[in-house]
Amino acid sequence: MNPRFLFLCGLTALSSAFGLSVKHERGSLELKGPAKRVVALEYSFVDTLLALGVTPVGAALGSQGGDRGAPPYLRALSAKIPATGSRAQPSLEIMLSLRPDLILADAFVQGEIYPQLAKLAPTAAFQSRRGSLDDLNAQTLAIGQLVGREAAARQLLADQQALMRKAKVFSKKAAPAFVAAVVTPKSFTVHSNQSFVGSFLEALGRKNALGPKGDQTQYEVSLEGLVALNPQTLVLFAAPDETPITQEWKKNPLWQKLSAVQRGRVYVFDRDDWTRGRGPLALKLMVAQAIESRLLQDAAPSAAFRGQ
Amino acid sequence: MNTHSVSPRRPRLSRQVLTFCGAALLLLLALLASLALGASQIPLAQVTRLLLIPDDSTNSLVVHALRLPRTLVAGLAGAGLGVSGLLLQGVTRNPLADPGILGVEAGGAFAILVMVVFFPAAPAVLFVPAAFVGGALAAAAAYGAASSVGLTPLRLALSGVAVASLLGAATRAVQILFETRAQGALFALSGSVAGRTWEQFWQVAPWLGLGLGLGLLLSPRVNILALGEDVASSLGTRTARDSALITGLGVLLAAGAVSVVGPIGFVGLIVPHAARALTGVDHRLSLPLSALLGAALLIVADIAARLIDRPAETPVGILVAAAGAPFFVLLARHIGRGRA
Amino acid sequence: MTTPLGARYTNARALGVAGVLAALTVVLAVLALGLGAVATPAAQVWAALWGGGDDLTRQLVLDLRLPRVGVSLLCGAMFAASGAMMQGVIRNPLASPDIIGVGAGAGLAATVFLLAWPAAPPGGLPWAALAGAWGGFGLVLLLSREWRGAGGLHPVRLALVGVAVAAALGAVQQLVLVRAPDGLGSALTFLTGTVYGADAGRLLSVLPWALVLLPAALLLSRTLDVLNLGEDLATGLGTRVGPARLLSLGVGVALAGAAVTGAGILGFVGLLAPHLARLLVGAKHGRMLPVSMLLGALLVLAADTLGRALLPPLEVPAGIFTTLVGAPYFLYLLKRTA
Repeated sequence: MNPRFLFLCGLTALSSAFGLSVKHERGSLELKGPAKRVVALEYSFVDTLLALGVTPVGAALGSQGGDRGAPPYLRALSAKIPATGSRAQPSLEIMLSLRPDLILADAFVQGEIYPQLAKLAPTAAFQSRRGSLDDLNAQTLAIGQLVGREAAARQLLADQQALMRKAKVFSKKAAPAFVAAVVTPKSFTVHSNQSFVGSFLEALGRKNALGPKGDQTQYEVSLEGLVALNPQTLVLFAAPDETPITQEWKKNPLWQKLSAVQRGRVYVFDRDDWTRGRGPLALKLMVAQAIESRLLQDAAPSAAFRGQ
Repeated sequence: MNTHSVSPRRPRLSRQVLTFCGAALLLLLALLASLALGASQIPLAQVTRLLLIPDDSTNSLVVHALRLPRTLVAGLAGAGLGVSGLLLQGVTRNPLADPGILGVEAGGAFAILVMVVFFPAAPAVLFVPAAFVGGALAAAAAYGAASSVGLTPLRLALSGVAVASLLGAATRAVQILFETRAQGALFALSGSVAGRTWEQFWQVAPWLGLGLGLGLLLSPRVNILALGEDVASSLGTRTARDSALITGLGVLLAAGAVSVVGPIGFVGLIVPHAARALTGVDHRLSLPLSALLGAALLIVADIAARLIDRPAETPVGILVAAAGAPFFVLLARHIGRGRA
Repeated sequence: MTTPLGARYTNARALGVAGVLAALTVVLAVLALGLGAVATPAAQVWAALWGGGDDLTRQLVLDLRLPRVGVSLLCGAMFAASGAMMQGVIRNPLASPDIIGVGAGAGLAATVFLLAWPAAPPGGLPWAALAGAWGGFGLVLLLSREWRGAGGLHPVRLALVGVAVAAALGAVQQLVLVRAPDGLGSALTFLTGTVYGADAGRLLSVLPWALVLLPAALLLSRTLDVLNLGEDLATGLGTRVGPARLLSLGVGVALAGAAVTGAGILGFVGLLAPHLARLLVGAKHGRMLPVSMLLGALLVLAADTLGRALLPPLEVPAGIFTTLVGAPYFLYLLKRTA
C-alpha cells in the first residue's frame, strides 16, 4: 500500500475523531462539532436549514437595500429569524452580536467579504446564485454535514430523487424543447440548461432549448430574438406584484406568431418561489407545480399557471 | 434680418449637392440594412417587397412590427441628438457643447428614473416633458456654473462632469435603495433602442419632428449668434432671447431622444463636427446634414448592437460611447493645445 | 476683504484651526466607535477601549469599528492630500483625483477584474483598482503631453484630457458591465466608495502607504508653493519645473491610488477638503496641506458613520454622501473661480 494513501487514511480518521471537515468553494472547513447557531446569507441556505429542522439565528432576509425579501413560500417560515441586512452588504455587527458558530455565504455575492466573515465565525462559501440543480443538491448534503444532520440531508435528497422520478413519469417523451425566462417589467432573461431552474426542468424530463452563452448561464433576449428562437413551449417566471414585459409584447402581432402561443403552451410561475428559493423546500413546491401546471405532460396549462 | 450678408464662405455648390446625396444614400442603406439584419436574416429583396406590400408572414411582421419602429426611433433620436449638439455648439460657440457632456442627457435620464421609481403610475406621455425638465435643470446648472466668468471649453466640460457625477450619485443612490424597482431601468439608463414600439415612436415623433423643423427655421439665427454676442447685437439681434430659444430647442431635442432611447453620448459631439467639416460653418447647411448623419450613425450603431451578441442585445448607447469617447479625447487634446 | 491676506492667515491661526479640527476628529472618532447596527452603551465602549468591558462589546468596538474608523481617517486624509497636491501642480482649483483619470481607471480595472477572474482570492479587488488608478493616470499623462516642440505638461490640457479619458474609460466600463449576468453589486458599491468591511488587515495594508506618502506630501509643500507661482516664476526661482511637477503628481496619484485600495472612490473628497482648508488657513501649502488632511479625514469619517447609523442594518456607502455634498460645491466653486 502506498504511504500517501496510508497518510490520507490517518488524516480521515483523525478528522472524524476530532470533528468534521467539509469542502466548500474556499477550501475546507473544519468544525469541532456540528454547528448550532447558523447565519444564512442566501435564501437557499435558509430553505435548506429549515428543511433540515435547523432554524438559523440570523439571515440576510432584509427587503431593505433593494432586496425583494424572502420568497412567498418562505415568508411565514422565516418571519421570526432576525434579519442581518442586505445580501450584498450584510451587517457584520449584527452577525457578530448573534454569536454564530457557522456562516453560510454565497461564493460570488459575498466573495469579497469572505475574510471578514471568516473572522466572525467559521464560514462556508457555496455557489448558490450561480449554481445548477446538482450544485444546490451537493450543498444540501454539505450543509447537513456542517449542522450534524447528514442522515437527514441524505434522506431529503433521496426523497427528492424519488419525487422527481415520480414526476418524470408524467413527462411526455419527445415533447418539444422549452425556453424558460424570468420576466420583469423591463427585461426578458432566458435561463439556460446550466442555470438552476433550467437544469431543474431538464431533470424532470423536459428539454431546454438553450445552453449557456460563453460563461453566461442566463442572458437577456428581445422579442425579435424570441421570435427567431420560436419555442414550442414557453415557461415564464413572473412576480404577481409586477407587470412583466411580456404584457407589452402580447400587444404585438408577432407574439401571436410564436408556436408556444399558438399551441397554448405558455406557463407562468412565481419567479421568487422558483428562482430565489433554490432549496429542498422550494424544490418540493416546484415539482408539485410542474405537475399541477401540466407543463410536464406538454398539455395546456391549468388555470392557476396561465398568467393574466 | 439680412442673413446673406453674414453668410460664411461656402464650398462650391456641386460639392454640397454631392455631400447631401451621399448622406441621404448612407441613411437609406442603413435603413434597409437595419430592416434586413437581426436575430434572423431577411434577404434585402424580400425586405423591400415586404416594406411596400405587407403580408401576414412572420418576416413581414418582424419588419413592420419590430424593426421598422425600432429603426425609425433610432433614426429620429440620432437626428435629434446630432442637431441638439449642433445647436448647443453654435449658441455657446463651444466645440465641446454636447448634450451628453453638458449633463442634459444624464438629467433627462435621472428625471425618468425618478418617475419610474417614485411615480410608477405616471403615464408614458409625461416622459418627454419630465426629461425636458430634468435636462433643462442639468443644463442650467452646468451652464450657470461655467458661464459666470466666460464659457471656456474646459469649464464647460468640467461643470458638465460635475453635474453628471452628481446625477450619477443620485442615480446610484436611487438604484441601491430601490434596486428592484430601478432594476429594469438599468438597460434603459444605458441607452438602447431594443424593442421600441410604434407607440413609443409616436410618443416622441411630434416633439422631435417639431424640434427638427424649428431648428431648420432658426438656423439663420444660429449663424448670427455663432459670430459672437457683440457682432450679433450690432446686427440688431436680441441675443439673449435667441440664445435662450435655441438652447431650449437643443435641450428639447436631447430630452425627446433620451426619453425614448436613454442617454446616448457623443452623437451630439461627433455628428456636428463631421457635418461642419463637410459643409463649412453655415448652419442652414450643417443642420440638415447633422440630422441625416446623426440618424445614419445611430441606425448603423444599432445594427452592430444587434449583431455583436445574437440573439442577446447590447445597448447601443454603450457601443456609441465606447466608439465616440476617443474622439472626445482627441478633441480635448486639440483644444487644450490652444490654452483654452 | 479688508484685512490683508498675510495678516489674516498666520501660523498661529493655522495651529488653532488644526487644533480645533484634531479635537473634532477625536470626538467624532469616539462617537463613531459607539454607533452602529448593534447598540453599545457609552460606558461599555469606554471600558472596551481600555481592555475591559464584555466580550461582545470589545469585539464590536475593537475588531469591527476601530479598523473602520482608522481606514476612514487614513483614506480621507490621503484623498484630501492628493487633491491638494494636484490642485497645486495643475494650478487649477478644479483638479482632483476623480478628474484626472484615477477614479475612472480604478473603476474599469475593478470591474474587469471581477468579471474576468471570478475565482480571484478575496481582497484582490483593491489591488486591481490600484493598478487601474495608475493606468488611468498614465494614459492621461501620455495623451496630454505635447510630443513635438517644447515638451512638458500643460495644466489646462491635462485637466481637459483627464475629463475626456475618464469619459472613455467610463464607456468601456459600461461595455464590460453590461456583459455581467448578475449581482455585480459588490463591485458597484465598492466603486461608489465605501469603508464597509474594513478590517485590521486592510488597515495594515493602507497604513504603510499613509506613513510614507503623507509626510512626503508635507515635505513637498515648498515645491508646491513654488510651482503654484507659475512656470516662468518657478523657473526664475531655479526650480526645474518638469521634474518637480512629475514628482508631485506622482506622490499625488500614489496617495489617491492607495486610498482607493482602502475605500474605493470617495468622490469629491479630494476636491472639497483642500478648498475648505484654503478658506480656513490660506493657500500656503505648509499650512494648507495638514489642515486639508484633517478635514478629509473628518469628512470621510462623518460620511461613513452616517452611512452606518442611518438605516441599520442597511449600509449606505460613504461615497454617496461625499458626492452628494461635494458635487454641488464643485459647481459653486466653478461659478466663483475665474
